[in-house]
Amino acid sequence: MVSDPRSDEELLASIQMKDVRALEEFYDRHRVLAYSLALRSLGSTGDAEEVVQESFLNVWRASATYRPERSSPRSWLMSIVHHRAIDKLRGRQSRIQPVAWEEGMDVPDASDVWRDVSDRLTGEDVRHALAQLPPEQRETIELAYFKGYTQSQIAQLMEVPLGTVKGRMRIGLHRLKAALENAQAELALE
Amino acid sequence: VNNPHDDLSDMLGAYVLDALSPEEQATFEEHLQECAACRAEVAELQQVVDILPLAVEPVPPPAALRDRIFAALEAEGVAQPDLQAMPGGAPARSRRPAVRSMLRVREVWFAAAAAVIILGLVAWNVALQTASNQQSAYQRDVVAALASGARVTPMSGTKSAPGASASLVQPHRGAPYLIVEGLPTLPANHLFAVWFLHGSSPDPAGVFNYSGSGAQIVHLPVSSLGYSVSAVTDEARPSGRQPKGPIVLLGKIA
Repeated sequence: MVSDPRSDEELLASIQMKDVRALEEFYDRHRVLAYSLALRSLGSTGDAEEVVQESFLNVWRASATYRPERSSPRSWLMSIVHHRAIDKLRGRQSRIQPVAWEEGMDVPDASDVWRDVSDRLTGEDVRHALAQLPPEQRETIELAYFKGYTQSQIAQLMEVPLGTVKGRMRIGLHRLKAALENAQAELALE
Repeated sequence: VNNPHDDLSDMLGAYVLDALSPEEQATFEEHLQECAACRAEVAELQQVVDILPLAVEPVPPPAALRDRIFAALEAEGVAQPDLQAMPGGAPARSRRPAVRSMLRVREVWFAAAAAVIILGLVAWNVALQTASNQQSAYQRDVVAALASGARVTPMSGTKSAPGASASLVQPHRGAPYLIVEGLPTLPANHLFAVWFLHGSSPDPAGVFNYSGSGAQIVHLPVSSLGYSVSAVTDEARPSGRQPKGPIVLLGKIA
């Protein structure tokens, strides 16, 4: 029997046990996505490489803080890359850590169904779903997520009231979710 | 006039996109402590934000980056176990081998369980493809399902579809899915219909098309819990509440 590739969850469990081979496999699997995200945010290959390096070292050092019920290993890695890239953009040394409201509170787990959906989505699906958003909602989301602008900065940049920016983000994300679910439903029926 | 909750919940999209100032973030997180509705919406939208990286056009990093990362780890001394990673913070050196061998035992068990299922399908399916064919996406998907702790029901092809095989995967939580392979090509206006049976009464559990080659995952909208038999039929569209076409796959739900 051939040996099957380990799942991301298995790799992360091994990384927690300080298995460096598992980190190598995890790197090989996600290096392109991690680097592409950093490069898109930072626009400089040198900065992007630095962020990817810091991020994988962070995965190694902080693997014990990974919470499988909150996100997939890939999402966890991408949030590390994202935050480090944004920190660099904003010129901050460190971020305010989110408060630990997860502990003991009724935070819903990522739904199994949605997790299945997101695992099967391709880059093309996500780009297509983004393209379906009204341009001002898409631009607002991209300025915030990829370029690290705050809502107030975006309001100035786009010359609209702050309330409009807030609405574009929240409504845009809900629409994006619906568009992605539709994309999956169509795939399943095709 | 807006109430304070509305004012705060307006920031929800900006919060998950990380677009709040430190002060706004602190204020919103204080609100989150008290507001279950906002916590639920944050969790919902966070899942969308988590897949935004996929939208980026892929660019591979230079090969030298890999060397630099693992050289940096080497310099740190990768052999140093992280005590934090160990439940209870017990001395890592003594615990590590035990945990490792436990993992190995688990892997072996999953592999063995998968082998049993694959062998079962071979036994029931005289016309199943060659061994090298099965050790592909289909088997990988079955092993992944077993590894996740899901309940896996093998389904075998009937006389109408001797080359077909499938596994019904019911995770602990959420909806089940089928892993199918080797189904016949249907006429253009036909679909495969999934049925769950309790006794002799079938309930519809979704329809799907088969792409024509390889393993395919079919997500089903209803749980298989409480049913005793799973079947797939070939139905002329539109499919009704009762199966009319021939059964192509059949499995007894464990």
